[in-house]
Amino acid sequence: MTHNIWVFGDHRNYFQNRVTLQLLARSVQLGKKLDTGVAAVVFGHEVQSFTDEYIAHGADQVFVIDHPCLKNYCIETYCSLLEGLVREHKPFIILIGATCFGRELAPKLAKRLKTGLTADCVDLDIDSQGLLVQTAPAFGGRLLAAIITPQQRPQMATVRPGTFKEQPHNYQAAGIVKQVQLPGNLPEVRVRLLASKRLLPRDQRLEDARIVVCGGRGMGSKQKFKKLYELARLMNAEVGATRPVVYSGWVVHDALVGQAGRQIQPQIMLSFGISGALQHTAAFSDIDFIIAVNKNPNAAIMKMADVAIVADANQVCTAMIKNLKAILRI
Amino acid sequence: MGADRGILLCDPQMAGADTLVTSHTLAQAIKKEIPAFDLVLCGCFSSDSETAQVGPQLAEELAVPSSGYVEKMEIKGRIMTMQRVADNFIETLAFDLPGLVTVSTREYAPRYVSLKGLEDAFDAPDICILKADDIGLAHNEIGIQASPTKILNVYSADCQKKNLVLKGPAKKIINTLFATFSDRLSGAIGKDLKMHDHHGEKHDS
Repeated sequence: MTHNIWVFGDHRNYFQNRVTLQLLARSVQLGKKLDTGVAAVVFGHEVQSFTDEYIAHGADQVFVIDHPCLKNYCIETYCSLLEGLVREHKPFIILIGATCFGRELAPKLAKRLKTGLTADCVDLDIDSQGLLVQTAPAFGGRLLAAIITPQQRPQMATVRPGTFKEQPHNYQAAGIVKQVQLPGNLPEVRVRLLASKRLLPRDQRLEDARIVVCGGRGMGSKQKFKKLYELARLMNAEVGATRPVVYSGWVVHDALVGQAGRQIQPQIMLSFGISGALQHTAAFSDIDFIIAVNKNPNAAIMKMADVAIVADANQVCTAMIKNLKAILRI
Repeated sequence: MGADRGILLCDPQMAGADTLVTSHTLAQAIKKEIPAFDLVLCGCFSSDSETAQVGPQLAEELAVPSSGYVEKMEIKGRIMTMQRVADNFIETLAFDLPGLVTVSTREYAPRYVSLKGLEDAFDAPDICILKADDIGLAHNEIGIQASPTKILNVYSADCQKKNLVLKGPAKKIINTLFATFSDRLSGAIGKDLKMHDHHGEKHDS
C-alpha cells in the first residue's frame, strides 16, 4: 500500500496539544476516499512512545529520524529533514498542525517545494477529481472559501488544534516504522536557540472545557467583563474572549478564542455580547449547544445559536449569576 | 511614524496572489530596491486572512534566517536576540543579521505620530510606486494566475439553525432558559440545577 497522506508529528507539547492525533483521524477518513494509507513523520530524540501513539491512532507507517541533535525543535533542521523526505517519497498531501511551530514550518516547506498551502483549514475533504478541498476562512472572515491546489504537489494545509476529533487509540493496530538515518549534509543552523523553558500548562483548559463562557465588547467595560469569571466559576466553565476585548486589554491574550487564538469544543458555549465574526467563530468545532446573548437579533452569532437571547449581555449575565447562586444555594 | 522612504507595489497584475506568490513579489522588490538590507520586519499576520505565511516564505526566498511570533527583540552589533512564547515554551533565539522577524502585537504598540513627522509627510514624501515590470517580474509569475492555490467557491458561513429566540426582561429570560434546558445545563456543569428541588423558596431577594 502507498502512504500518500502525511501528517507531521508535532509532539513537543503532547498531552496538552493533540492536533497530530486529530489530523491522523481525519487523514484515515481521507485516505479511504483516495484508497491510500497514512504516514506520520516524527523527528526528535527517543521518540518511540510517539511512534507507537501515532500507529495506535491511525498511522499505517511512521518515518522516524531519532537523533540527539534533534532533541530541541529547530525550524531550519526540521524543515530540511521534512523537505528531504518529501522529495524522496513524493506524498500527495501533507497536513501540519497549526501550532506556533507548525505555522512556521508549513509555509517554509511549501515555499521550498513551490506548492500551495492553505492556513487554518476548518474542513478537509476529497472531491470527485481526487483533489484535497481545503475549506478556510476568507475575505476578512465573513466567508468560507473552498480552496484546491490543482497542479502542484504535495497539497498542503495547516489545521488548528481542536478542529477534528481524534479516533480512539488502538494499541493492537499494526504499522510500519521506517527508521531514517540523519542525513550528513544538513544546512548550518543560523537561528540559535539560547534558552527554552516549558511553561506550566495552566492556560490549556479552554480547549478542554465542557462549558465555555465567551465575552465580546458587548459586555460594556473591563469591569463588567469580570462578571463572566464569576459566572464561569459557578458553572465550572472557562472564559474566552474575542479579539476586540483582548486588544482593549480587558483580558490576557491567552483567552482569545478565534482563528488567531484558541480552538474550543465545549458541550455548551455561552456567548455574551459577541457579533460572531468568522475569525472568532472559526474556532468553534463541534459545539453541541450555543446560547448567545446580543442586543442585535440579526448578529451572525444569533443565527448559529440554539438559543438566541435578544437582550443586554451584561444584564443577562447578572441575572444568570443570581439565578445560579439561588439554585446552588451559594 | 518614522519611515524615511516608502515603496508601494501597485499593479493590477499582482492582484489575487496567494502567499507563495505574494512572498515572491515582495522578495523580488527587496532584491531589486534594497539588496543590502539588514532586517526585514513583518507583522505576524495580516488582519484579513491571518495566514501568517508570507513572513516565513519571504525569509526562505531571501535566504536569510527568520523567527516568527517574536514578542521582544534586541540588536547588539550584528546579532539579533529575540524572545517569544511558542507552544507553551518560552524561547530565547538569536541570529546574525541580515534576517527577518515577524512580530506579534503583544509588546509593540504603534507610537503617536509626531508633529515633525506630519510636516515631513506633507512636504515631499519619498514614496515610489513600482509595477511588476519595474522590479523585473514577468506577468506569468505574479498574481492569481501564478498562484498554486485556486479558490473553488466562496460561501457564507451563516448556518440557519432552527433556534429558540428569547426576549424580554433578563430575569424572565433566565428563568425560561433554566426551566427549558435544566437537564442539559446540569449535565455539562456536573451539578443538579433542577428548579423543582427548590419550590416555594424565595431565592431572588
